[in-house]
Amino acid sequence: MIPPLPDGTTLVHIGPYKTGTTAMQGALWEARPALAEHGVAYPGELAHEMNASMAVALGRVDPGKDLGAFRQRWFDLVAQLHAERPRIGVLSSEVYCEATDEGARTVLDTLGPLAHVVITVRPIVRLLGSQWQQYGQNVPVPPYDDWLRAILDPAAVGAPDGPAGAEGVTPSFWQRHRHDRLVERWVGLVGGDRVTVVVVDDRDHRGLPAAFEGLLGLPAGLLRPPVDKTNRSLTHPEATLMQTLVDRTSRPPWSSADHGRFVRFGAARGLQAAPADPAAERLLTPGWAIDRALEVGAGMAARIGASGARVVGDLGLLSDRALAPADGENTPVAAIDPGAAAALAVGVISKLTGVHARPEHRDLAGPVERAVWSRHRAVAEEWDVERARDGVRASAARELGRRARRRLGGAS
Amino acid sequence: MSLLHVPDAAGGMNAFAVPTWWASLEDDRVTRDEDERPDVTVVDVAELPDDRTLLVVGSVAELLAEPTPDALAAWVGQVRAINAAAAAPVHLAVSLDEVTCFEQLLALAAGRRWPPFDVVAAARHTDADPVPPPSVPGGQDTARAYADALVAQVEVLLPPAWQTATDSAADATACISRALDTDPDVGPADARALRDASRSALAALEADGVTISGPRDALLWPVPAERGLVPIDVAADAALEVMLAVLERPVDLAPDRPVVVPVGELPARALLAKLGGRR
Repeated sequence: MIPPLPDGTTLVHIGPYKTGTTAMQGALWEARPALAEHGVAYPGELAHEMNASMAVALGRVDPGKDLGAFRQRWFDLVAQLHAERPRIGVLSSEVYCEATDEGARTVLDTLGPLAHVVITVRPIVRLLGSQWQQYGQNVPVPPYDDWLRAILDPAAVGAPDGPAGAEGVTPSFWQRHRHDRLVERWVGLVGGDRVTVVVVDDRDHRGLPAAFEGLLGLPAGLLRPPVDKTNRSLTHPEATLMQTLVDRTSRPPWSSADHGRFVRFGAARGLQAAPADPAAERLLTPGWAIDRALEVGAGMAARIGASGARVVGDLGLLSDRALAPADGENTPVAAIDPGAAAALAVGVISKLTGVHARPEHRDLAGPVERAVWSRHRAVAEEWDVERARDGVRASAARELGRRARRRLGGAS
Repeated sequence: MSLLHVPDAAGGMNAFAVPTWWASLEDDRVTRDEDERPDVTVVDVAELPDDRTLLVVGSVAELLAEPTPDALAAWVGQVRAINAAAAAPVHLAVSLDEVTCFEQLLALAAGRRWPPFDVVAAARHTDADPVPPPSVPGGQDTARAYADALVAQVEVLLPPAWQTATDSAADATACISRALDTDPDVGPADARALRDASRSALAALEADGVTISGPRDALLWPVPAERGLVPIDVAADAALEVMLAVLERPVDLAPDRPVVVPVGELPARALLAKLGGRR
C-alpha cells in the first residue's frame, strides 16, 4: 500500500525516457474528468506538453517551434494549477530529467515547496534497444553493436556528463539513464522526503498505474494506459530503413524543421502506426552487452537505495537477468516488406496533408512545409473565390427577379 | 535579368535543344553567339536569380552507352567538363517528359517540376474524396504491393490536401517503379553496385557545385526487387521523393493575394447591366 501524497502537492513526474512516461501521460490525460472528481488536476492541451516542458527545463524547443511562446505556455499551466488549487496537481514530462540547473531551479521555485518529484526507473538492459531506436529516428547513429560498445564502455558509463565513448555517440544517453545520479541530483535539490522512485516491472502492466494511483490517492483501476500502437518498437529492417532516411535528411540541404516534422514525427510514426511484419527479425542484443548492462544496473540499484529517496518496487529488478531482452546478433538487412516501405512514405504524406492552409505559413516552417502550405493555401483561396462567386450569382439572380417583378408590376 | 545557357543536344542531354525547336519558339529572348559559343543557346530570363547552364536529362539508362561503371564515369566526366567550361554553373534538371514549350523550359531551369500545380483542378476535390490508386506498369508485383499498401494507409488530414496526398502517393510509387527493374540488363550484384556508384556520382557532382532538381532517383541505376522485398535504399528514396516533389512544385501566391471576386466577369452582372439599361 502506497500512502498518498499530502493535499496541496504538485507531483512532478520527470521520467526519464523509456520508463513508461508515454503510457502514464496517456492514462492521466484520458482520465482527466475522473481525476477532477477526486481532486486531481492534470493541466494542458496535450497528453504530453513536451515543448512547454522543454522550453523551461532545457531552454530550447523542437526546430520550427517558438521558444518564448512555449515557455509562457508552461507558466500558464502552472498558473492554472495554482488558480484551481486541486488536492494534487500533476505535471509529467521526461524532458525534466535533462533539466539544466537553471531549468530545474525554475521548475521547483515556480511550483513551490509542495512539489514532489517522481522518478520512474527501468532496468538499463531493457532500455538499450528502444533508446537506440529512438535516437535513430532523429539523428544518425552507428549500427547497434557499435553503439552498444560506445555506450557501455566503462569510461562512458562513469562520465555521464561527457561524451559517451571515444566518438561522443549520443551523449545524452547517460545524462538520461544514470538513474542513480538522476535520483541523487533531485534528492539534492529537494530532499529525499520529496522524491519517490518507482521501479517499473515490465511484466506487471498494472504496476506503474497502481503506483500513481497510490501516490495520488485514487481508486484502484482508475488509471488505464491507452493501447498505443504508434509507439511500438521497430523491427530490425524497419530500424535500418529509418536510419537510412535519417542519414539523408538530418543534414543540409534539408532543414532541421522539415526533418523534425516530416521524418522524425512523420516517417517514423508512419512505420510505428503500421503493423509489424511478423516475419521480420526483432532487434537482438548481444550477450556481452546484456552482461555489462546488468552489472551497471546492480551498481545503480545500490546507489538509489542509499540515496534517501522513497522507493516503490523492487530495486533488484534493475539487475535481474530474467528481464533481459532477446540475446543475439542481427544479420545485416538490405530489403524490406513493401508494406513497411509504404508506411515510411505514408508517415511523410500524413504530415504533409496536415499542413494547415492558414493565411500565412509558420515563421519557423522549413522549405518543404512552406511549399506544401502554398498549395493548400491556394486551394483554400480558390474555394473562397468560388464561394464568393456563388454568393454573387445568387444575389444577382435575386436582383434580376426583383427588377423583373418591378418592371412587370409597372407595366400592368 | 539573368542568362540561361542551354548547350545543344548531346550525349542524351538537352535532347530538345536543336535549331528547329529554338526557331519554333519565335521568342526575342532567345539568342545565339555563333562566334563565342556556337554550341550554346542563351535565353534572357527575368525569373532566375542567377545565371545558370541548363542540362535536361531523362533516366540514367538514356545517358549511359552501356550499363557499366566506366560508362557512368564517362557521363559524369562529360557533365563536369561542361560545368568547368560553362559561363555559369550547371543545373541538372531531371525530366522524364520531353520538353515541349518555353514555359516548361523555364520551370525546369528554375528547379521546378512540370506541369505546375493546378490549383483549379485541386480545388475540385476535398478530403472526402478517396486517394486514387497510383498506376503501376504490368508485371511489377513488388511496386504494385507497395502502391496497394500505401493507398490503404494514406490519410488526407485536411480538406485542401487531397491533391497533395494524391500527388505524393503517385510520386512515391513512381519512384519505386523506376527503381525496381523487371527486365534487368545486368545481374543483381552489378545493378546494386551501379546504383551505389550512380548515387556517389550525383553526390560528387553536387560537391562540384552542380545543382539537381526533378526526380533525381531516375539517375540511379535500377535494381531488381529482392524476393518481393523493396531494397532499403529504394524505400528511402521514395520517401525523399515525396518531399522533393512537393518542394519543387509549390504555388506562387501573389504577395498580397487578395481574395477578389471578379464580379465584372460574371454573366449575371452583364445581364443586370443590360436590364438596367433598358429601363
